[in-house]
Amino acid sequence: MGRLLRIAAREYFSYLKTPGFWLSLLIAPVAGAIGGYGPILADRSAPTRTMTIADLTTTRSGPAVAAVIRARADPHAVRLTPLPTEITSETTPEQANVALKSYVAGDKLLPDGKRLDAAVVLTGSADALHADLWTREIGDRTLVGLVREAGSAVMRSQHLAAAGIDPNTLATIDSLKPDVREFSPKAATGRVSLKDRLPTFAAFGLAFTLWFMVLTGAGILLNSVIEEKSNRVLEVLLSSASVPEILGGKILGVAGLAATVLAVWATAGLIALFHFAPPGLPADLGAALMSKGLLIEFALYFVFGYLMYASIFVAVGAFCETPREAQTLVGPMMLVLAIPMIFLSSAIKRPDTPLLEWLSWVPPFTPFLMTARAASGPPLWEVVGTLAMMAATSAAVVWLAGRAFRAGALSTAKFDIPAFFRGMVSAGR
Amino acid sequence: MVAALALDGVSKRYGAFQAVNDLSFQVQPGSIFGFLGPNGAGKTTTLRMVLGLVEPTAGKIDVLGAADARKVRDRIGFLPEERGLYKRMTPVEAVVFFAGLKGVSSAVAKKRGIAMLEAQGLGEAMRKPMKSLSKGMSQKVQIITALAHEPELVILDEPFSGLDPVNQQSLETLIRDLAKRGATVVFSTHVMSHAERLCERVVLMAKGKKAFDGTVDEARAAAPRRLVLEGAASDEDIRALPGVEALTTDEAGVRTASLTRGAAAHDTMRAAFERGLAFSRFEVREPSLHDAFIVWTGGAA
Repeated sequence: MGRLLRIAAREYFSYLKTPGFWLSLLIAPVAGAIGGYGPILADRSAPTRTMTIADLTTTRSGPAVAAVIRARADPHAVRLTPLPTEITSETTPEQANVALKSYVAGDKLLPDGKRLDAAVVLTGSADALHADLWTREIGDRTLVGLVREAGSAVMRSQHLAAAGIDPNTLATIDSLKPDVREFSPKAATGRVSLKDRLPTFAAFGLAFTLWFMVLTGAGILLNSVIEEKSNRVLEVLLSSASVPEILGGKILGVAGLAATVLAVWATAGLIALFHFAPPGLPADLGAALMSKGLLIEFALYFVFGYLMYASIFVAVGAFCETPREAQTLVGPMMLVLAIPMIFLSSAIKRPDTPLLEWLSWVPPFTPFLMTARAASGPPLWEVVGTLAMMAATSAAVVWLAGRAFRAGALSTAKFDIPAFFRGMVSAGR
Repeated sequence: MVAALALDGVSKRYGAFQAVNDLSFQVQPGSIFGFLGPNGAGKTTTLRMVLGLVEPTAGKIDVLGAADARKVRDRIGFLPEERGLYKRMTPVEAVVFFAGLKGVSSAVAKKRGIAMLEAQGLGEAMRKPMKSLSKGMSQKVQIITALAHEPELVILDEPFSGLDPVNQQSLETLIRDLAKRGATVVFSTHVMSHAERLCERVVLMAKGKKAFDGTVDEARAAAPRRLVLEGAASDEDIRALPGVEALTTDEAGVRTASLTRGAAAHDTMRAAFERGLAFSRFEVREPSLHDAFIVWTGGAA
């Protein structure tokens, strides 16, 4: 046990000293902040777009369309500006298009010296409006949506008014919404609330955390063993400690690293939760994590899943002197790891579909899918059965990986998949 | 006396390749033992079997009284042929880590490590990361990591390779000191001169088989003594001298006569004087371990 802990401590502290560790520690909070606030900041920092409307309709529907746009558009996003004076009610649509194109292109400036960002040439009538939108931002669909929405509202009002419905009645009709209440036998009080959905969100979060820890931990382990192999340290290690001690020490050390990263992120998340979430939500989330044995199931699936994947990556590393050599097996492993992510959202929405139930019995996917399905309360026999299967699978994988590790550590041949599996059989002996 | 290391009929086969074939020898405690042979002779495989890293296909290995070296790994020090340490570790950290794996407390390992590093002239380098050290320095550190737990049996696989002559000399001194304090040293090499200077007993290996097992003198006795001759005497006269078995002449005209096994050089010299043969040089050259190796292995490499 002493050797195992010494190897674990070396693994932990050697990686702790690297800049990569501190980068990975900071990357999630920074990425979260950028992901959350980046688009908002980008929108806020962008100047307000100026848009004008040339009303060439026979029913003079322009002001009505403008009114809807003003009512529905974010004032920071769009500001309506008067038409350039050269366009009048006598201007033909073709002339208006030509004139406004030169403004939008920046060839001409508005009387206040600013550039026009977008322009609409409205033709037709309130029965059948036609709009030509000029804009410089081809990729942004906001303005075209806004114009379509405003035009549609005006045409609808016109048709309903023609059918004899007065505007006040129409406004009342538009505001009518049914009171839909959601009930579920799985909800604590029968009626579904956010509190009842929290375990599902928590399960999704835990499954994702497990996936992340496996991916990160496996990557660190692989690189660590490759470094030891290329630095010729593995043979000395093998003469100083048993294979289970080396494997166990490395896996434990990297689990400690992943746990440290997770603890820091969880602390940052909790601080954010207490500062920004509605009162009561942190307590409800805590209760959700403790409910339905979520954390216990997570812990068990984590241990088995992490052991299984980590052992495989350590064994692969023992055969490789460069990460490139490892790619032949790591590539397919990464594809396998991507599959549960595809099904993770389905596991939350419809956890009992036959495909998910079947995939939950495939060991490489079991830890992730069963953790995600835990909140929906799968049958006890399924939980116990998959846990027993994972225990047996991870024990077998650890044993085989140990044999492959020994064979790889003493081998000087380049890594290939047949050699890897031969190593499992011969254990280098 | 119970042997520190005993191999009995040990073989190792990898598929169709016979790496080691029916190898038996014993190493007495406190001795310096040379395990000699060219590259590919099966030395590293044998040492890995001794350490329990590789399992023999057949035979029995007894290490420090245990049938499995892994049970006594704390009492063994090992320097592998392919050397390396963690690049970001300092020498002191490396010694503490590896001695720690052998059951030495961190405080004791640090104290011993500092003393040993200073004794090897690494006082200034011992707190620098390994990656900043020269190759020679790194090798010294690695040897110290193999010895800091004061092992009873020290196994060194090609310890002299990569060292400059000065460091080779200092390693020879270190090996002698280890034996003086009672440790058993087994080292492999393909350079016979080190073994000649250090070892009491040697095993010569060729193509996975033991070619010789005995003392250095016994090994050399199998090789012919040579006489290096310069002078006016004819080849016929030299060949006719007692004990002369063969005669060769090099490009400079220097002739070398091989003596038959057991022939005394002074008998040949006396006969040359009695026959009035004129020599400006008459030099007796004792056989080296290298010569012995050629004889014992029949030139196999």
